[in-house]
Amino acid sequence: MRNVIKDYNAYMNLDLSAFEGLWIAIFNGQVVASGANPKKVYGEAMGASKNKMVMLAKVPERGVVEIL
Amino acid sequence: MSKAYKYRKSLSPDKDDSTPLAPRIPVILIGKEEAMENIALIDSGATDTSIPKLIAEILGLRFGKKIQIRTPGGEISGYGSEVTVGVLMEHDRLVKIKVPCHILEDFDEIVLGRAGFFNAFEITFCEAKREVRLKHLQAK
Repeated sequence: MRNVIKDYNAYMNLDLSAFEGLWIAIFNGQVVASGANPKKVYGEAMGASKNKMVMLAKVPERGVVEIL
Repeated sequence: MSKAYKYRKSLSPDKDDSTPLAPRIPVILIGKEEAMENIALIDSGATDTSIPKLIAEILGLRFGKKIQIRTPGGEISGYGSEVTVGVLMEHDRLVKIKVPCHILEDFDEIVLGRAGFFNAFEITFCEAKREVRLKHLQAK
């Protein structure tokens, strides 16, 4: 569970402005993959993490109000 | 057993850049093939939990009956299913609950709706503190 907290803290604190609107994968507190297709991002991240669990997250877009 | 999660302020740590603030929490989604950490939006206005189709395919979720779902943005198609959601509480304790969900095409947000999820937690949104607090309700 430590890794979840580390990855969550990275999600909360890293500068993600370069990934606006994209999916990112975080492993061990670092962004290890990004892109528009979450499947591709996840596959790339699993290679980087050697198949250990990674965090997949969609980075919000500035100025976009979400009404779900 | 409870845990508070802050809203993320902005895309850049020290700037107010008009990023919408929203109650998102870390979760572990568990399917038949994979388990992965995700960031999920807690939506008290949503009846059910929603998972993007591509995420459901990675997890290996069962694709049930095809359905049409009406949202404020229009109708989208999806499939009925269920997913196990793990939520990290205080002292690193993981609470796992199985919830009904919709697998949605052309959708890219993991949304935790009321059915199943809100039965398992007392959930308090505090906009002044920009945080959401979850208290796990023990099953009787």
